[in-house]
Amino acid sequence: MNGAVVAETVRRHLSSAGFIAYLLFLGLIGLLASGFAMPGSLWPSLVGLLAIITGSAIVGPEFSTGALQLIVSKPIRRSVYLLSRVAGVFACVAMAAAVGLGAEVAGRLLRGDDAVPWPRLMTVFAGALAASLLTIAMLTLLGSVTRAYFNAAIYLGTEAALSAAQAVLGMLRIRGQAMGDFLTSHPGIERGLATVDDVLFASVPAELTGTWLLRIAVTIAVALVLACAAFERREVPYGAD
Amino acid sequence: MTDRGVRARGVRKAFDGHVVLAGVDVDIEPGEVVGLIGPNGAGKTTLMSCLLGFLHADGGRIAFDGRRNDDLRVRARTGFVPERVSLGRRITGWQFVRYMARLSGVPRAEVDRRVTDMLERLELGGAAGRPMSQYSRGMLQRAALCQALIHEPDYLFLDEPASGLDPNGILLVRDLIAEQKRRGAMVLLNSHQLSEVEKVCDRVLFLRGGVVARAETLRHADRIVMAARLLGGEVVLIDGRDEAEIAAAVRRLVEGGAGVVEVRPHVADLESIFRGET
Repeated sequence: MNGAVVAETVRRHLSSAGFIAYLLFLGLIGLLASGFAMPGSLWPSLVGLLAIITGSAIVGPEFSTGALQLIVSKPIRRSVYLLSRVAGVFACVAMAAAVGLGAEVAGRLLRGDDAVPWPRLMTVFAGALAASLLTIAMLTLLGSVTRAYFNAAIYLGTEAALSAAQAVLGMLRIRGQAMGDFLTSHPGIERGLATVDDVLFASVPAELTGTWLLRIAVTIAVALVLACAAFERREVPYGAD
Repeated sequence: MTDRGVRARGVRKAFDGHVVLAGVDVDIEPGEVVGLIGPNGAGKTTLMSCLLGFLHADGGRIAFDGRRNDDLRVRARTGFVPERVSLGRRITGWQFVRYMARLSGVPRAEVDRRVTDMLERLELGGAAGRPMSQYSRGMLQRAALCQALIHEPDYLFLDEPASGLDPNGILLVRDLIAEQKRRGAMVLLNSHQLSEVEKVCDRVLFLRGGVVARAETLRHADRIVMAARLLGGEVVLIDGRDEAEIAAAVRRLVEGGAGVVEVRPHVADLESIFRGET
C-alpha cells in the first residue's frame, strides 16, 4: 500500500463539490430514515450507489487523461498503485456510510427513541461496507481491462442481464411446456444463475453470517488479484506520433 | 560496449499487424542528449513508450545500465515529460508536484523544500496554489518538467518539452537540458522543433519506416568541428581536439592562399537532413 496514493485519492474526493454534496444528501436521508420503524433503511442503498460511482473511476478515466503514464513511470508497482487507489476509494465510501449511520443515530436520539437499535444498525453498516468493497473490487477488475467508464456500463449491464435472465427462466418454468419441464427437471440452471448473481452482486442479508462474509471476502480477494495481474501486464499507450 | 547508459537492441512493435518499429537499435550514453526526429507516424512515440515500459515490445532487448526497464530501481532514476499532462482539474500545481515527488521516492523530509525550489526554478512559484485547470499550456508543461526533474533522474525522456512554452520557457528548457547533461544524465528528446533539437542535442536519430534511418552526430565530446567558408562559397570542415588545433588549421588555410570569410561551429543542418529523408 502506498500512503501517498491513498491520501491523494481521499483528497481528490474531499475536494470535490459533488462528493461533499452527496455526503450532505446522505446525511439528510439518514435523518429521514431515523423516522422509520425499520432501522437502517434508504441510506445503505445510497452508499452502494456511491461505491459504483467512485469505484468506476479507479483507473479507467486516468487512461483517457494520460495521467496514468506519469504514474507508471514512477517507482511504484502497478499492483500497489491499484490497491492503494482501492483503499482510498473505499475509505471515502466508508466515510459516506459513517455519515448515513451517524445521521440516523442522531435523528433517533433527537426524536427521543427509547433505545437506539445498535445491533441492527451495526449489521446494516457492516453489510453496506462489505457490499461496497465487493462492488469496488468488481469495478476495479473491469477497469483494469477497459477504458474510461466502460467498467460501470459492463458492471450494471451484467447485473441487469443476470436479473433479467433469472426472471425469464422463472417465467418459462412456471409456463410449463417443454422448456418449463426442462428447467424443472434441471433446477441447477436457475440455482447456478442465482449463485453467480449473489457472488458477483451480493445483496446484504438480514443477518451477517460468517459464510456470507467469507464468500464476500473470497470474491473480493479473487477480483483484486485478477485486477492486479491484468493491470501489471496492461499496456499504457500515450500520445500519437 | 559497457552496460552503462540505455541500450535497446532490435526493438520491434506492431499494432494489429501494422509494423511500427521494425528492429530499432538505440544507445544513449550517460551525459548525452539524443534527439529523436522523424515524420508523423515514424514510431517516435512508440519507441519512447517501449523504452519507458508503457508498451511491451514484441521483440528485442531494452536495458538501462544493464537492468530491465520495469525494474523499480530504473524507474526511481527515470524522469518523463509527456506532451500533455493532466491529473484532474482541482489539484493545484504544488499538490501535483508534491504527489509526483512522493511517488518518485523523494525522502519525505525533503519533499516540501524540493517542491518549492523546483516550482521557483520553473517560475511557477506564484501560481503554485492555483488549480491546474487555470494553467495555460505552457504552465502545464513547466509543471510536467518539475515532476520529471524533482528527483534528479539519470534517464530523462522528454516528449515535446517546449510545446506551448513562450521564448523564456524555451530558453529555460534549454538551460535545464544542459544542466542535466552536466550532471551526467542521459536525455532522449522527442521533438518536431528541429532548431531546438539542433541547439541542445549531441546526436540525432532519424526514425523512418520503423528503423533508425540515419544517425547524425551534432557535437563531439572529444573534438571540435568548425566550418570555414571560403571566398567563392566553398565550405571546408576543420577538425581539432582543441581550439589551438583549430586556430593552427585556419592559419594553414590562410597561408595556403585560401580566402577565409567565416569560421563557425559546424552543426548538421537538420532541416536539410529532414527534407532529404522524408
